[in-house]
Amino acid sequence: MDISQYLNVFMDECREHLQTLNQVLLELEHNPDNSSLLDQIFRAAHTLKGASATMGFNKMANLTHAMEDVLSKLRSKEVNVTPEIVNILFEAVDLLESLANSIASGKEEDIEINGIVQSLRALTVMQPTPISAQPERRTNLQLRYTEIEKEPIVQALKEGTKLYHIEVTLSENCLLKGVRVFMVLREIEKFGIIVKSAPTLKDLEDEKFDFRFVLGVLSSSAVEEIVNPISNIVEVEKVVCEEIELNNIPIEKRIQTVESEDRSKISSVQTVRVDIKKLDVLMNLVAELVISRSRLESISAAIQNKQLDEVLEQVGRLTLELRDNVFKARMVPVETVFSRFPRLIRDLSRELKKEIDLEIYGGETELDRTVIDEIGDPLVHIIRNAADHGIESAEERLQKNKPEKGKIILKAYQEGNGVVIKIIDDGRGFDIERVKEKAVSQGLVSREALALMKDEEILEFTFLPGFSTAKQITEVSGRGVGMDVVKTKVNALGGFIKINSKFGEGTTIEIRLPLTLAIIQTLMVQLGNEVYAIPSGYIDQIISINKKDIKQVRQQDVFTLRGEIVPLIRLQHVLDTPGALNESFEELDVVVLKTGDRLVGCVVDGLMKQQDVVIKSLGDYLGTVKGIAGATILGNGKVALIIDIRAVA
Amino acid sequence: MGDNNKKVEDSKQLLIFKLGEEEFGVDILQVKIIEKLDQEITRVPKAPVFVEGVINLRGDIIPIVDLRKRFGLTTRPLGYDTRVIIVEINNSQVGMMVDSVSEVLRIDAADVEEAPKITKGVDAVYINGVAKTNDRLIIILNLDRALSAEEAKELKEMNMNA
Repeated sequence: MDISQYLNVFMDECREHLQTLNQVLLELEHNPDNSSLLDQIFRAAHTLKGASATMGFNKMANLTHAMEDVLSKLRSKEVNVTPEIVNILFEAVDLLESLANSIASGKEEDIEINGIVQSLRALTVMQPTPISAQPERRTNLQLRYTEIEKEPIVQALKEGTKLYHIEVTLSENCLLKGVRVFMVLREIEKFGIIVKSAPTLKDLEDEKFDFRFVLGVLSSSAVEEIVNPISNIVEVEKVVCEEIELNNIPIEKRIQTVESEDRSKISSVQTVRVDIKKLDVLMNLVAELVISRSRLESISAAIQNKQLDEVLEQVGRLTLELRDNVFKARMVPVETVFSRFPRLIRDLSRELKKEIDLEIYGGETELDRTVIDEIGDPLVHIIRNAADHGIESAEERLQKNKPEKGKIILKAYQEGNGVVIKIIDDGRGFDIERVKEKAVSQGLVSREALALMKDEEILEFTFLPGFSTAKQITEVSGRGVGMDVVKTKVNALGGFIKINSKFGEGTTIEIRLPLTLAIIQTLMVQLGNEVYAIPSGYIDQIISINKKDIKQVRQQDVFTLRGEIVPLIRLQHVLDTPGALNESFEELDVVVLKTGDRLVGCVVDGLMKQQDVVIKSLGDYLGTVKGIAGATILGNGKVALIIDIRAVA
Repeated sequence: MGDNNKKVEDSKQLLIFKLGEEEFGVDILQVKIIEKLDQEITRVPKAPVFVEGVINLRGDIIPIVDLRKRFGLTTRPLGYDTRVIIVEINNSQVGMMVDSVSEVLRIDAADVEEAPKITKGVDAVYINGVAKTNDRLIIILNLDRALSAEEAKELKEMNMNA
C-alpha cells in the first residue's frame, strides 16, 4: 500500500493526539484521581497506536503500546497515579513527539525507544497498590436507562419481548473496529431492536472505545440465536448475553453530569480539515471576484443604468462578505500555540527548580494560519528566557519581598489591524546599566549618544546578535540563539517587537503581528510613471519638504525631522523607474519609512491611496527580486509591485 | 556535433509561432494557454533584460519573456497579432511573447534534424532540432534552455571549450 498520501493526515492527527496527551497529562498531574482524564489519555494513546501500526511506524506503535499497558493498569486502579509515573509518561510523550518529527522530516524513526519502553514496562509490574477490592472495570460499561428510555422497554417486556444486554469483546489486534461494530449491529438488527449502547452508537462508529461494548437489545429470539451469529464474526473474541428481568432494569442516576458536560463542550464545535492550499486558491478566487466587480462598477458608471447599479451594489456586498468569511476560514485561535506552554513551564520549573505560575489570557484571539505556524518558536524562546533569566530563585524573591512563586503572563488581544501578544514576567528585569556597559564595550554606541537615549531604545540593543547580558549560560537559554533570532523572525512575519523592563520588577515583551500574511495594508505611490505599493506598517509619516531644506552629508541627501538627521533616498533611482523624476516643484512629497529604529525618507512623485492588498509571489521563475517583496493585482486588473522596504531603505 | 542527419525526436505535435519571418515550434504538451496581450505589462526592476515584466492572468502573476530580446533579435512594437504563449517549465508558468501564433502541426521524427550551431540567428543551445516539412523550416525550441538565463550561458561556454 502506498501510504505517502495518508502521511499528511496521519501527521495532523498525530500532532493533535500528542497535544491532547500533553494537556491532559498536565491536568492529571494536578488531579490524579480523575478517571475521566485517564480515559482521555488512554483513548489518545490507543488511537495513536492503531494509526502508527497501520502506517508501519513500528517504534511509535511499540511505544504507544507500552504506554497503553501502563494506562490500563492505572484505569483499573491496579496501580495508582504517582508523580513518578506521570513523569515517565511525559517522557514517553516527548519521545513520541521526536518520533513524529523525524517521520515528518522523512528520516524515519532513527530514535532509541528501548529505554523508555523498559521503564514503562517496569511500571506495569510494580506492586499493585492495595486498595479496596474494586470489582472489575467492566462496571463503567453498564447500561443504565433514563426514565424516558425505560418506559417503552417496560411496555415491550409486558408484551412478551425480552431485553438482553449483549457484551461484545473484540480481539485486541482488531484494526477496523468501526467495521466490526457495524457488522455486529447488522446481525443484531436481523432479530431485534437496539435500545441503548455503552458507549453511545456514535462513539462506537467513531471507534471511541477500547475493545468492549454493551448493547441493550429488545428481541423475542432465544439467547443462543443471538450469540451464535455474532460470535461468528471475524475478530469478535467474546459475546456475553444476559437477559434482564422487568424489575431489574438499571436506572441511570444523575451523577455523570461532569462527564456529559465535557462531552458537549467537545462536540459543540464541528470542524472539517481542509488543506491550506485549497483555502489559498479560494482566497485567490475571491480576490479575482473583487477585482472583476470593480471593473463592472466602472463600466456601469459609464452606462448609468439604475437597475444595473442596484444589482451591482448587492453583488458588491456579497463579495465583501464572501471575502471576510474566506479570511475567517484561515484564522486559527492562538490557543493552538499557547496550549503547549503550560507543559513548557512545568518542565522549566522542574529543571530550574523555580516555582512558576503561567497565566494565559486571550487564547481565543485569532490569527492567520500562516502566522500561527511561524510564531511558536519565537514565543518558546522568550518564555524560556523569562523563566531562566527573568524569574529569580525562591530565596532571592523572598528577600526582595516578592511572592515566592514567579509569574509569567501570556496575553493576546486584537488591536486595530493586528494582534498583540505580550509576555510579562515579574522577575528581576533588565539591568539598564549593564546593558549600557555592554553596548559601549562592544563598540555599538558612544557614551555620549547613550546619555541621550531612552531606556526603551537602550533595551533594543538586546536584540542585536551576540548581545547577551546573562552572567552564566544555563542549559535552558543562552545557547547562542538570542533575541536577535526572535526579532528577525517577528520582522519577517511583518511584525514588530518591543521590550520594556523595570529593573527588579519584571520585563514585558510585546509582539505585534499582522492578522494575516496574505493581506497587508499599503499606500499606493507613483514613482516615475509606475505605481508601487508601500506596506503601511513601515510608514512613519508622510510629509512634504521644501527643496531648500535638503542638505548634503557625505554625498547623501538628508533632511531634519524632529531634530533628527534623516537620509533622503530616491526610490526612482533604486528601482530605475522610467519617466522623468519630476522635481521641478519646490515642495517634494516624502514618505518617511521606519525600519527598526531607523528612519528613511523616500521622495515619491505622487501619493495615491491607502489600500488593502492581497500579496502574491512573483513566482519561482523570477525568484527573489531585490527590492520587491511581491506583487498585487489592482482594481483595474493591473499588477502593482510591493516594495521590500528592508531591501531598499 | 558531427552527425547532422541524426534523428533527435519522436513524432509529436508542435505549436507553431513566428518571430519575424522565422517559424518556431514548441511541444504542445508544454503549452498551457495562448493569450492576447490586452493588458499593460508591469515592469519588474532588476529582472533579466529579456523579462518584459509581469501580467495578471486570472489572478496569477505570470512573468513575460520577450523572445526577440531573449534571442538577441531586433525588437519591434507590439502588434495586432502579438501573442503570449504561457508554458510551464520547472513547475512555474512563464509567458513567451511572440509576433504571432499560426497553427498546430504534427511533425514526424523522420523530418527532424539536429540543428546547426547557429540557426537563423538563434544559438543552437536553445534548439532541439530543425523540422523540414513542405518546404518550411521550423525551429524546434528547447524551452528549458531558451527561458533560463544561466543555463544558456553555461552551455555556450562548454561548447566553446569543447
